[in-house]
Amino acid sequence: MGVTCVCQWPVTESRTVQQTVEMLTRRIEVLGAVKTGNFCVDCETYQSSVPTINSTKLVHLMHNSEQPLTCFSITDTGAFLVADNHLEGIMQKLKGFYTPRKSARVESKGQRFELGDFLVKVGIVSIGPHTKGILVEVEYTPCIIVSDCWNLLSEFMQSFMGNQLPSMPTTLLAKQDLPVTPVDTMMQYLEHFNNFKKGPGGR
Amino acid sequence: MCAVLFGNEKMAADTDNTKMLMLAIFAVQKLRENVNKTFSSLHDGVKTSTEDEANVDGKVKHFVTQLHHNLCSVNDCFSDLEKLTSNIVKGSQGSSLGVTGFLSLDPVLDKTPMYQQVLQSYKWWTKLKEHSSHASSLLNYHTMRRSTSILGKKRKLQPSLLAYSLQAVDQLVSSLNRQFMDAMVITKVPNMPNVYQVTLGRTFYAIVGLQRLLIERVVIRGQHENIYMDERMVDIWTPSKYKVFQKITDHATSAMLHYQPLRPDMCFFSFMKWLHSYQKLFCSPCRHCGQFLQDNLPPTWHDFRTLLPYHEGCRQ
Repeated sequence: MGVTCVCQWPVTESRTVQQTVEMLTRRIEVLGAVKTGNFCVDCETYQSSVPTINSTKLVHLMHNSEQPLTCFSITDTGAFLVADNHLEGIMQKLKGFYTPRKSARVESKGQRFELGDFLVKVGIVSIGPHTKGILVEVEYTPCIIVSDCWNLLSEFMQSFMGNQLPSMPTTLLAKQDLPVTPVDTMMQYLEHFNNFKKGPGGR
Repeated sequence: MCAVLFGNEKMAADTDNTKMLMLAIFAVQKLRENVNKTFSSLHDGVKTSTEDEANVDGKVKHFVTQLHHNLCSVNDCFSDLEKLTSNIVKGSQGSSLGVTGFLSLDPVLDKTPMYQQVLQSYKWWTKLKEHSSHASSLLNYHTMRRSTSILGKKRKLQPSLLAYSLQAVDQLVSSLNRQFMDAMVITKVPNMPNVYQVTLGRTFYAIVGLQRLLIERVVIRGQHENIYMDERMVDIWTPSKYKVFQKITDHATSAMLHYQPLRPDMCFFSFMKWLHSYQKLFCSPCRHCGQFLQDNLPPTWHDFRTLLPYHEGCRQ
């Protein structure tokens, strides 16, 4: 578990999502990366069924194939709980208070690459049956302090992203000098998933 | 007197042999000439034309006699050559290897290639001797300062090492801790005497095994890697799973050897100072190429004297 940056990769008019993923994959493999299987990050949203004064409260339940036995739950306000996978069972029991939103399951699925100490994951984001876009996750595993290795990570990302280099994610910006945890990665995914939900429909 | 006679005889035999060899070479040339002639006449065959068909029989006869004549001369040449070769072989081979030469004469050993192997190894050995003598003369010329100093100081090093008591080691460690403040902390590992854990900021851990003040083993591991083998023991053998820390472990081992000729306390101090230079491992670019990454690794090599970061491929 190291410093991770998740960023959206734009899909241009001239290419489909699949073609763009293939192009990215080729670029990563040219650098010498080795395919090491698949990955999946998913998110299910629950909303409070008890009406509150302001608005409905949301809880996002997320899973990451890197931590297969863990369930991350994050609220809208940014509070989080890292628990065992049985948390879903508890949510079932809490049916009276939190109900799952219909067709709100978002997931990013794709291939995982290793290159030295770097991990690169290229995932296709889909909401229900609709494909929405591409998320690229880059991780530098030996380092856990963002401010220490951000420049190094940017240099690596530039090698296959070129001018599409992302700026530092807001989640990481807030805790530059603190050690990162898997929750930070999930926060970044959640932010992107929310953007995809708000944004226009995919191709 | 006998030896002189023997020598003369040997010389005479040698000249005879060369003469024989020359004759044999001529014989081979003659044989080849004849064989060539035979084959070319065979290749040409009987030349006939439609006009003089009556003369065909005569021509064929002539061809056959010609072929017979050619074959006879080839046969003669071959038997000549055989006679010559039978005269040459004996006794000439063993001369170069003295008594060992008699091995070649043993008919039982003819079936085994022992003598040929002996000759080969003799040649190889002579070559080796020649090369090593060249090398030794070259090395003597450029006397290496470092290796000689190690040889000279090692004898001094051993007794002085024992002069350092455990308390002295502890004192040195605490003075180092004061000097590096919070950036680098050296702590004693519980339950394991002589093993120290060096925590370098939030970059990595180094597990250092000591014999009094002599550094014997260094392993570098990531901040979020497990350093305990079980509840009591620190694992000082398993290398890190990260390539960058494996590389630094290699460099630390060479640093340990580099500083060894110094006085034991100086060696320990210099090594720790060198390790301290890794504090900004991930955020300092290579001094030579200005980049952060090379072969997907940060600048893992830190110069032993200047302590400046370089990529392994960029170091001078």
